[in-house]
Amino acid sequence: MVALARLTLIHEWRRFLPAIIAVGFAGLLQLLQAALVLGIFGSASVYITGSTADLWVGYPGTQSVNLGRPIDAGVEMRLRMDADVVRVEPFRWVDADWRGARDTGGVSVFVSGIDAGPQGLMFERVLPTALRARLDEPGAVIVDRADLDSLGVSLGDAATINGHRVRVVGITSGLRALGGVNVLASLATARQLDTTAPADRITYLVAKVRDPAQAEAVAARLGDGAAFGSYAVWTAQQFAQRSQLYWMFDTGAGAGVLFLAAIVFLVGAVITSQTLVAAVVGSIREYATLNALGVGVTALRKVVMEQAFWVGALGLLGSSVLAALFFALAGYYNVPLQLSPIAALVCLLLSMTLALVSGLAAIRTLRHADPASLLR
Amino acid sequence: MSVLTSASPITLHASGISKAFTSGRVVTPVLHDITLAIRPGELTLISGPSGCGKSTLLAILSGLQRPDRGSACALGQDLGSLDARALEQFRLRHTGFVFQGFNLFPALTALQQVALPLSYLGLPAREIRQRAIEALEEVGLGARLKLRPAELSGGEKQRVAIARAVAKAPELLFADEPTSALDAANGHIVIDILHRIARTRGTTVLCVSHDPRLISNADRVLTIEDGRILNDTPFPFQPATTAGAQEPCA
Repeated sequence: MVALARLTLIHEWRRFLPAIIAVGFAGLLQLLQAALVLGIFGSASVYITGSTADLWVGYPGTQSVNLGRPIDAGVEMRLRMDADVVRVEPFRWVDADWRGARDTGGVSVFVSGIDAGPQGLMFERVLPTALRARLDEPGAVIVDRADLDSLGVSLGDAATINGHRVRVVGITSGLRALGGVNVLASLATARQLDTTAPADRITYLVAKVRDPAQAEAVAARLGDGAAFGSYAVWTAQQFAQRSQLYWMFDTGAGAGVLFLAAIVFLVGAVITSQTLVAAVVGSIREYATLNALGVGVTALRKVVMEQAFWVGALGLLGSSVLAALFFALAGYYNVPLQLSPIAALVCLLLSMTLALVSGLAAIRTLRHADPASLLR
Repeated sequence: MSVLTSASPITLHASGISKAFTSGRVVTPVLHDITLAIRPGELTLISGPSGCGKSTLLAILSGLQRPDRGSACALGQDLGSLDARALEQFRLRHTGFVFQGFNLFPALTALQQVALPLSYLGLPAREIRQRAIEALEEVGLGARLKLRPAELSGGEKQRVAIARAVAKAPELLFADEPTSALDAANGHIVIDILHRIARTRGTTVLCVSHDPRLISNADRVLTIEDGRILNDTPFPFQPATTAGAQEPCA
């Protein structure tokens, strides 16, 4: 079989180059956008995904972790009474004002008051046990490496939060947050920094259950009681999703991203289809001759679709290589990029769809390949 | 050389063919009630001034267009009874075409140009290659198999186009002004090849042209004017002595 599509693509590569570049850039933009969205909005739930708690208990209707309202600390007893709950710990969220050692002005920070014990659930995934233990020291805080500049401190420096003196005792990574800077402290330190909180109230309670697979059932069971005032119980997964969806859709950021993705897709499809149409028009007399010789229209359509496929494949190869470079660069600069294999696959499939849709648009041009028009 | 005579069976038959083209409200009749029969093993030439309808007649006889009235029969098959797909299949198996423009794919070598239509016949790769090489050798391009159109002269391109048309070993070969774009020497080579194909393979070669060189080499010349057959002249196989037949051509 003569590989007409491929041979033409190689021989007339200049003609096809715009389409390949269009698909490539569309793919690259989709990949980077997806990675940024997942990375940034994923950071909205870093408190949940960075912890090993199975259940989250908070104020009913809380849309996102950063929007928590205090609940009755007595709920802890209700949790401890359940046979399936193996560990409960409080999590205090404090919106605070940071003043660093260097002149940075006031920086809005989110102080996470967590259990500093070796069994602590909060931030277990991003906080080594030794580092966590240092939080026991009064006024000790831990910050993310990427935030050092904006906080105007280095390891060991002192700063003030809400007028109280704190000291940076450790640096970790994976704590970057959306809309502010995450600062980790012990429950006692956080309690001190939270000037307005009543003593018997806490922002969240997190719990570990005996069998994580049963988390949903346990959450439903615990959510029933009304003895300790209003509170709600979510599984970690539910609460993480809730937080991410809030940021993605209720803030308008997600809509913007989707709009941009649609524009990229549209522009890519227009360029690609026009290029393919031009390629078909350029060979229309040859196609008509083949049809005169009995090569069916279906076979000719296949040639065009094969060209579209190769344009897509080459474009995606380019975008994958470039995306890998950008990812390395982003990693170096602590930009929160996160791309699951499924999201990457969806992006690449979307770009391939772009190429094939363009091919379908170009196929219509083949109706001009009428052999009778060759007879003059 | 000639083994076929005028007693050979009819391969192309047109009866009462009429065709008109409509442009807006203007109807332009092109062919009027044409009836003719064409035999295999001959180079039959349709000649006439431009716009006389000769290309339309070729299109109808080859199944590329349908007549308004009348019927066209090829190899005993009524072309009017075939749908578009069946016509494609018929063309694939039985007909070859050579056009004035050579219509070769710029990306393909001579060998690939010829092999391309063959590959749609479902032949094994080895046979495709063999037949393509033989067809190119037959038109004298055995040494040019690997060259692309940009590296071939006009005459060579038309010979590749002929090889592409005849590699399928079609019973019917249609050619539309095959020599118009060629110089004298190349034109002559192409005429000889077409003639040889008719003679040696017993192929029905139907050619539309107003090239006087072709007229003098044809076995039979049909002169058309204003959509009607004006003249039907069978020539003896004596190409050198038929120069007088150039007259009908405008």
